[in-house]
Amino acid sequence: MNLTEIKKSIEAKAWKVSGYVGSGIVISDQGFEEIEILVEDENAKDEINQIIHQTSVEGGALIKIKISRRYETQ
Amino acid sequence: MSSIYRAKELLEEAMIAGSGVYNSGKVFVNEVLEKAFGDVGLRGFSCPYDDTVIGVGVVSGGYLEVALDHNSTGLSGVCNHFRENLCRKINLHRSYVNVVRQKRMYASWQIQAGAKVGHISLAQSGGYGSLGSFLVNQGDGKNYFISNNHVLAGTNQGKVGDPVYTFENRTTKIGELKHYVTIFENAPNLLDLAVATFDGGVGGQFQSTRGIRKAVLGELVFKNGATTGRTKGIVRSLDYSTKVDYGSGTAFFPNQVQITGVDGRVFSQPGDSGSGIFAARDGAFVGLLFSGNGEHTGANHSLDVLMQLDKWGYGVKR
Repeated sequence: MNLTEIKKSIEAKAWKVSGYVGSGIVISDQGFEEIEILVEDENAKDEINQIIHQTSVEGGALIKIKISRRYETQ
Repeated sequence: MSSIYRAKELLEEAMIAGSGVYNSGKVFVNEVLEKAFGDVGLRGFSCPYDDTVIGVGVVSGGYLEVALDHNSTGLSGVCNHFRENLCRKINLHRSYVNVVRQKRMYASWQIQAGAKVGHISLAQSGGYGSLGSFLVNQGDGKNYFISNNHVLAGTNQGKVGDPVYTFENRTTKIGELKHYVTIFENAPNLLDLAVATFDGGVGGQFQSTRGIRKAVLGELVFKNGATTGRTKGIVRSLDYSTKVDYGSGTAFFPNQVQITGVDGRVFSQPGDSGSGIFAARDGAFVGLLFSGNGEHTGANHSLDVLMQLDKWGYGVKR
């Protein structure tokens, strides 16, 4: 699976988690692509970790989970 | 003569009170006139926004001229009736008052991208969004503009034909809602998009967009929004998926453009929704701003916007 497929696979379950904020493939500070998952709190973080564990991620894809504010209309 | 000026002041008050937006469109000029003059009113006459009196002034020769909208229906005989009653109440000889029917005057406004705009439901809550980008339909040659559904249609509340307002300086109608993409709570959404027409007399700074293309990861972009003005940002992701809080519910938007501000500034804040996002390199339209979380900004892909405009029949130049 490439990053896009991994992201889609995680997202398919993650968006139903109440504290899930969002996810995307972003450029890291070091300049390479990684999957970033935003959550509102530690509970959501645990749930997302379980989803990642259930998803067969090959090749050590970089996935970072960050706690963040929810998106709202601007 | 002082009676003439007093009458003018009262009529001006009536005109202000009658401008529907400030009063949800429900205060009739008649009510204000009745308060001021007793039973002087346009008897047997009503109109939905009651801005029937469109002008009043003391003109050369010392006459008080009251202009009624010539497009209003049921005006036959009303001008004379209005004058007779007005004169009687303020003890003015009828020869000092002239009631005329006049064409409404339109402001020749030059509204700009980034101006505060929105559906009436936003005005009632003190909110606003941004005028995103001008659109000249290659089909009918008419002028339109784009912004978000949650700006121009109050998140699915609006109906086609609803008035759209600008909130610059004062609340003024500038056009009508034409199209919007419905936002769903229980299904993925691609767009928070709406289109409105301009009223006659309202013009815009129509500059040719320098193309429309997909954003490029890492590129520098800018926008002009109603709250934060012109800001710069970097495209951080092209496939960001987020839940977005709409106040009345949460909607899921997969595969959006994510932008981060540069120079220590946020790229957007509430009120910037609807802004067009343009590439710094070539000025191309690359996204439509609609969400944010204080750190990052979410935008619809320009090509998704373009495809939807095509579906609606707007012939947009690439």
